[in-house]
Amino acid sequence: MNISVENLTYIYVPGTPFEKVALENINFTVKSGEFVGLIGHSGSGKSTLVQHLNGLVKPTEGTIRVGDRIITGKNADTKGLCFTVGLVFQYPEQQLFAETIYQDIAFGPSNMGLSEKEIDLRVRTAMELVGLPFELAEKSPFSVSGGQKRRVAIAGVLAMEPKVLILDEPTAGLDPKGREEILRSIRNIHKQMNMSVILVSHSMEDVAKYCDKLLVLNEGKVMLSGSLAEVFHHAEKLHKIGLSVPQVTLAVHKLREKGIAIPENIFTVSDAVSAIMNLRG
Amino acid sequence: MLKDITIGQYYPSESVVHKLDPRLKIVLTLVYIVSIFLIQNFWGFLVLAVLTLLLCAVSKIPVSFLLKGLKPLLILMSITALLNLFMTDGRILWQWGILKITHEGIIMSLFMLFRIVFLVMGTSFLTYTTTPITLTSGIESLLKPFAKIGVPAHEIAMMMSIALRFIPTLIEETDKIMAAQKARGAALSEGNLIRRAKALVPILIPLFVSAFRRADELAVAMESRCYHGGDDRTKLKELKYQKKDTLALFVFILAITVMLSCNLVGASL
Ligand SMILES: Nc1ncnc2c1ncn2[C@@H]1O[C@H](COP(=O)(O)OP(=O)(O)OP(=O)(O)O)[C@@H](O)[C@H]1O
Ligand SMILES: [Mg+2]
Repeated sequence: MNISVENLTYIYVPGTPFEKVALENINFTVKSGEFVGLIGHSGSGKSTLVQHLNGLVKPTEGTIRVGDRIITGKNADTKGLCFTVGLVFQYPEQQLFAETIYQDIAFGPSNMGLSEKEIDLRVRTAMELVGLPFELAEKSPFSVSGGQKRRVAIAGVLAMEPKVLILDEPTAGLDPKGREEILRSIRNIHKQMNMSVILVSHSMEDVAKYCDKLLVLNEGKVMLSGSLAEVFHHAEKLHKIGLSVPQVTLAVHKLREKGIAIPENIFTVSDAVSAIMNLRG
Repeated sequence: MLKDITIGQYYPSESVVHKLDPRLKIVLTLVYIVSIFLIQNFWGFLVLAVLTLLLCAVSKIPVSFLLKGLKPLLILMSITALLNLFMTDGRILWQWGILKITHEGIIMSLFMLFRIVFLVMGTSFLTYTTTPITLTSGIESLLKPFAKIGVPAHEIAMMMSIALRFIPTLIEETDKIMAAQKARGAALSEGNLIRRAKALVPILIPLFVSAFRRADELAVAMESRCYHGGDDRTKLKELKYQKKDTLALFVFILAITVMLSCNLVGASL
């Protein structure tokens, strides 16, 4: 499912002293099956932008196309869009409410009006996808660990089987191992289910490792967009707004300055290792 | 939408009223509430309207902001007005079945309406011009004398300031949780009353969980900074009664006197 955003502008509480232009003239597209990283500083409008894509927030100006649905204007009809574009919020474990993990994951599918049997199947599949053993199903979501809570919340969105999956900083506040596990599950889901994925993140290392394309927001505007190589080519520009290219890419740039013939576009440690091994022949 | 509520908010500006002693403002507000119930005819409200506008100008609070504070009370005000309109006996002007409108009813409902409007607008000035922190230290100071008979003055004040501090946080949190559940297809404003009540569960439970978590964290943070209530606790900003407070007191007494002397003019209701 293709998504395209055209000239999107969004203003919070317009006409009051608290008015805030959160997004300004945003344009981009996400094609079916792409894995896109959305990066930007705190307050750059990432969360506001992704909430437009599943219809929670309606554009002040501009148009959003999701598949063949067109969303424009304050009174746009967005009913059911949240089932096509699944959005996992920042700190999603804070939205857990049901008595058991099973019921919590089933909340989304049952809102879609599916049959018991279909819901059961989806809950099982979702738990498996995020790596939660089914024995946990009858436990209270409040009794498991922080990382597991987050998986339950992600499974709750996956169980709706959206065509596009958006995750708003899914690794915030987790330890390195937890982060790695969550990101790896997301990559597996992307491959197995053939979903488009939009990953909101602060970490250049993470997006470099998992995404094909990047979108960089700065103060509500798109500053850079394109493939990893295209975006990381502008190391200076990123540096100016307090972001950076991955450390290993910087190191590779330094090596090239020293005259070592290592390829330019290296964004992960493992790629760097194999490139250096190649050099030694 | 939840953010539209202005009643009880603080309106920052640099006016004399903002700088008055909170204790004075609290006491005067109480006196004001009583005196509103002493007004007996519309002349009193006319004077009060003028005084309210003057107070707006002095405290640099836009009249529109003051009027916006009435919005959440619209339903209460309409019910009061309608009840008084239809339920007062007297000279009948219009009748339909058991519904009747009387001359006295019209006057009574207007009178009640004014009473509520001025009650809310007048008392709002207290919170508009006083920061929550100053307000609670004012209350604490006023309750001090009662500490001897076992009123936990400091604790009450501390609880109030914490509660006030967390209102905006909880509103923000509610908005966020609502959005998160809507993203899972929760229908919050559809169906009959029972369905709507049920739809609140996925919002209220996470809200309670997070409120308890925050309370817990705050308690730990306070304890780890050795907080303890009690007598030997000193204040960063001591309240001071100044000359301008005395002046304000006199102006207030004058205003109330003028307002209530209207009772002597014209017939009372
Ligand atoms: N409900 C709201 N009312 C008014 N302004 C808001 C509201 N929500 C967000 N904003 C403002 O809009 C801007 C963008 O916020 P947004 O939450 O989209 O940023 P973000 O990029 O997701 O930041 P973070 O990385 O901290 O999550 C911020 O400046 C914020 O202050
Ligand atoms: Mg955000």
